[in-house]
Amino acid sequence: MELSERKDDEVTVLEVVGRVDSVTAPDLGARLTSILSTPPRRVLVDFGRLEYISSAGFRVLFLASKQAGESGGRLALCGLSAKALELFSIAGFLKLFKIAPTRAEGVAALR
Amino acid sequence: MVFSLNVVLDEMLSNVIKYAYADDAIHEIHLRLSVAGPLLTAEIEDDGQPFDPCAAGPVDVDAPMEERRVGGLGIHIVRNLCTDVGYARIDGRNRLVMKMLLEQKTMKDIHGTE
Repeated sequence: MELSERKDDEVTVLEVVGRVDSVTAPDLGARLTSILSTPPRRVLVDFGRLEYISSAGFRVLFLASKQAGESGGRLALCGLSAKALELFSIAGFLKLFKIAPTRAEGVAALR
Repeated sequence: MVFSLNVVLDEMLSNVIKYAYADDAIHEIHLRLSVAGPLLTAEIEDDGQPFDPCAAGPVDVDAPMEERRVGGLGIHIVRNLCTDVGYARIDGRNRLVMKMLLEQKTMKDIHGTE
C-alpha cells in the first residue's frame, strides 16, 4: 500500500494505492489520525486505485470516523469500485460514511 | 470471485495467525481448496487454541456510529460472502470449512435480502 497526500484548499486528499489489509491498515490509520489531529481536520480518502480492503481496513476507517466525529473533523471517501462498495454495504458502512463518486465531488462535500 | 476468496482467506487466516497461538513456535496451518459443481470449498485447519469464529454474535450493521462496535466485522463479511461457514474441533485441531459459489452472486441472490 502507498499513501500520497495533497492539499486541495482546506481539504487533505489522501490517496490510497494498493492493498489495505491487516499488515498495511495500521499505516493508513496512523496517517488518518495525524491529519484529523491537525486543524482544519478535513480529509478525503481517495480509493480510486484501491486493489483490496479487508476488515482491518474497515476498522481503521471506523476509528478515524469516530475520531472525526468527536473532534469536529470531517471525513469522506471517494473513488470506490463496485466490488469495494459491495464490501462497504455488507459492513453497513454506506450510511456511516459520506461517499462521493469522484474526488472533485468529495472535496466539494467537505468544503 | 477472486476478490471475495481473497477477502475470505485473508480474514480467516489472519485470525488464526493473530489469535490461535500463545507461543512463538512454528506451526502449520493447512489450507485446502476444492471445487465441486458450482461450489468452491476452502478448509482451514490449525493446531491452535480452540476457537469457533462462528460463535461470534451478529454485527448490528444498522446501529448508529456511537453504538457500533469495532470488532467482529471480519467474520461478518466472511459469512456474507459465503453460502456456508462451519466450524469443528477435531483431534485437537480447529477446522473451518467455508463454501462459496463460483459464479459471482450478490448477497441478494444468496440470501434474498439486502
